[in-house]
Amino acid sequence: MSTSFVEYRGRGFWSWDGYLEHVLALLADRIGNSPNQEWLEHLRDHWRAQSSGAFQGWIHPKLDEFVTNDERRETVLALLEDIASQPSLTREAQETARLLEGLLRGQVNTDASSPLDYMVSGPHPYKWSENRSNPQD
Amino acid sequence: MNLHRLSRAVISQFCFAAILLIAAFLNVQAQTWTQYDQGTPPQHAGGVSPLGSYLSTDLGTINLSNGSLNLSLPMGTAGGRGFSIPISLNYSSKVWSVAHDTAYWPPPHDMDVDMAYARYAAGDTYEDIFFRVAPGWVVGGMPLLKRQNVGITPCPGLYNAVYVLEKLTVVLPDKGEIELRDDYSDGAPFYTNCSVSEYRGQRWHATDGSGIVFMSDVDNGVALGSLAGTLITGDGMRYRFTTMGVPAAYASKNWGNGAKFLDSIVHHVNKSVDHVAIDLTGASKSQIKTIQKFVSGLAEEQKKKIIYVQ
Repeated sequence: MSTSFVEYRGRGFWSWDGYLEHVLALLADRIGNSPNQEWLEHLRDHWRAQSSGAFQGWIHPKLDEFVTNDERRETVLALLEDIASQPSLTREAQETARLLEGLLRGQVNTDASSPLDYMVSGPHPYKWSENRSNPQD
Repeated sequence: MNLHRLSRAVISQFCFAAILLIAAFLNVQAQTWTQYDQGTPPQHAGGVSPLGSYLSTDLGTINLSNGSLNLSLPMGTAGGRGFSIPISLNYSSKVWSVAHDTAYWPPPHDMDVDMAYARYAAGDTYEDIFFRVAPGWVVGGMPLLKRQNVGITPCPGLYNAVYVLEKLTVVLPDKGEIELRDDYSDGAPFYTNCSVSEYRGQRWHATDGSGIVFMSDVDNGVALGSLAGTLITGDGMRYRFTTMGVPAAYASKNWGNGAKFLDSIVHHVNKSVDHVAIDLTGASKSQIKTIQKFVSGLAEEQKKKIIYVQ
């Protein structure tokens, strides 16, 4: 449906909400129920809320607020690597995770007004979003 | 006899005057012949214009469904280098509209009663506040999209309806309106049986033959409440719409202090799109006030992109 801008240290990328919600939900799952650090617990809860569908057009992973140092950045990058290695992961989620990784590594140079030629696209309806809307299916 | 002579003289004078007068009329006709003398010029002929309005003059239109007079006064154009948008000052005489609601009738009656009432300038709320001048008067420059979801036959004990009609309307800069229908069912009411989600597909077409189409960014986007997509007019002009905000966004646990929502508005107006539709459905008065106050502080170019949907 709508798109959100993911921002970190002044740079960022636009993503269709469904792909971003999918990646954030996977990352929250990967953090697990009992992370060993408190900030990860808060990050997990925040990302779960962000992937709920209630934030259309303004999904904000709060990277600047949570990923405040290199150690935390490496932790999130490791989470991204974990989910990217899942063989069942959709191409759209894989590419979105790659954009997120590039942003954290400082390799993304686009901002909100940049041309949108990098945006991940794919056929709709997106299965993950559809299953979330109709869990009985 | 004198009388006879006098009358002959008068008759002669009258004849002379008549000849002069006829000659003068011939001269005048030759000088002021216009296209109106051969009937109604094509550009002023009544009928449905390519853009869907009843064209009476180049400045005014009459909505055939409600009889309202719409005027559009050209003010200039914005843009250049092969792309320009006309800016106009528009007026619609339809400043009153009928509304329906349920009101509580206090004791001794103690009951809810259906009531119909008239609302003044309610139609102006479809416009961005920065386009409004006075009730009925707005500044127009871009087409707008208007979505309306109509439930038919309420489901007993539920909030949804047995049939749902999804209406999508293009409001043109001259205030003319064109109804679009989804390609999937051509506008037929959707049978939900009180449980099935409505489906309308991705492409919508104009009902007036103007060739306007709307492609939502995702399948069934309009029925899902999103107007994000591309509007393509008959002459090939494309308008990109993006959107943000759903009712759940305004729940206090999601809204927080609103800072992230306001940040996102800035991101969206900086994005390479023509319009940002902010859905205020479910927003409280204070949240609406916060958003409008924030938007009023944006640059003029950014403000022009914003449309409020309620």
